[in-house]
Amino acid sequence: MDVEGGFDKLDRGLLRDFMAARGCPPQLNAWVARWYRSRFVRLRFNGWVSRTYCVEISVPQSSPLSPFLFEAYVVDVLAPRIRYGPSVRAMVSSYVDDTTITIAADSRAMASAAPIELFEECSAVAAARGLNFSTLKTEWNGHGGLAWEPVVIGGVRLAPVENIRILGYRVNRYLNWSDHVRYRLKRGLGVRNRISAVTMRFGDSAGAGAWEAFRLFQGAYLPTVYYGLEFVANHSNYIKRIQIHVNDTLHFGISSVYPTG
Amino acid sequence: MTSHSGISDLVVGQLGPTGSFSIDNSLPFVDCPLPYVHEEEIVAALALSPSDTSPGIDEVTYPFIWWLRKKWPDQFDDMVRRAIDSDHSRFHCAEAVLIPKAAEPRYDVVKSWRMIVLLSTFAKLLERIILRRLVMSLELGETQFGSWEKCDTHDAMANVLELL
Repeated sequence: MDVEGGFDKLDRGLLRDFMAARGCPPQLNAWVARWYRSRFVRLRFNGWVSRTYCVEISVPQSSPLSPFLFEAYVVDVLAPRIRYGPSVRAMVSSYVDDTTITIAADSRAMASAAPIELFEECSAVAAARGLNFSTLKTEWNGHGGLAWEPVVIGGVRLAPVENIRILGYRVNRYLNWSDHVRYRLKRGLGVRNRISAVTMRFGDSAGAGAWEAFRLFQGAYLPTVYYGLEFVANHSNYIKRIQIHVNDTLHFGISSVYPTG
Repeated sequence: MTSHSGISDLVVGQLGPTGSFSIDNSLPFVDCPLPYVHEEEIVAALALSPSDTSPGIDEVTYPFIWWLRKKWPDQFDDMVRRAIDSDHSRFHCAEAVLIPKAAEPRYDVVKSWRMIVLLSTFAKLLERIILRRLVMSLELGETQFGSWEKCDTHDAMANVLELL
């Protein structure tokens, strides 16, 4: 599940109170409060620059402090709700504004009920902070080779998805990495096509020659197809598929820059 | 509304309450001075700075900051200390580059735009120094992976898989 709005909805006054309550040294807390007062932003689009606006709430994206401050803001919403019981183990983990509820239970009924309860619990605390979880971006799937019925989460009936996206990783109901590899290679193909389009459109004379294409390959293509490689490293069939894709892209790139015909 | 200024007013309006261009002086600068910033903190923050990010509206890049530190280390460190303890308003202006999302052609809706915020690189260096102190003084919990130093999405995913 995903916190809707995320950084944009953070109330700086509440943040200061939460940090003080968690024992943040007063000097640091005061520094952060001063740092984020009266932030200004101007927009640029279509080559046009807007006037300057003063933004009263939120913390900026791309700031090194923002993810940490956001987590300090939502720490009680996503407080380490690890529960171990004889038949149900539940965990709420988060990475900035992406949250995952993981349940391991003895029966399907228990596994279906536990996430609803945890979701409602998190939503109630989030609402008090002016935040809410986007039900459009909330998805779930069940494992264990069982047929799973739809569940009602946040008032919305959600059917299980074939593969669930957790922090960019695709996990299917069989808990293998085939869907993840397929998805990353498909994305890689899209990146390859876009690099090809850029080099064909602008070419060497306009600053998109062989060197620039290679840099795009390194900076955009490889991170796309290699994402999650650490989890598939022990599966030789996946590694071979990825390697074939990379080799094919290299061959494609070289042959388009230095055509043999 | 189809003008550039009309669109920018609508987009910013949806981000939250906005006001006129003014400095809020309700928080004094001298109430709680920070403890002395050591050279090691500056070096550590510089080491974490990437080389390939775009500069903010001041056009200062990380390679320039590294060069500056290498050329005049003492003066640079002094500059950082002064910047941390002085008026921060000079770092407060950001530029947000809006890139339209192909799938959502409603230009008057903030979600139709992918926003890339360009901040001052020197300001980010100061933030990294403060972040290090915050991480050492605040414990946010064992399942909040974004707050852990040297933790990334891989560790969060490994944790989920371990439970499953």
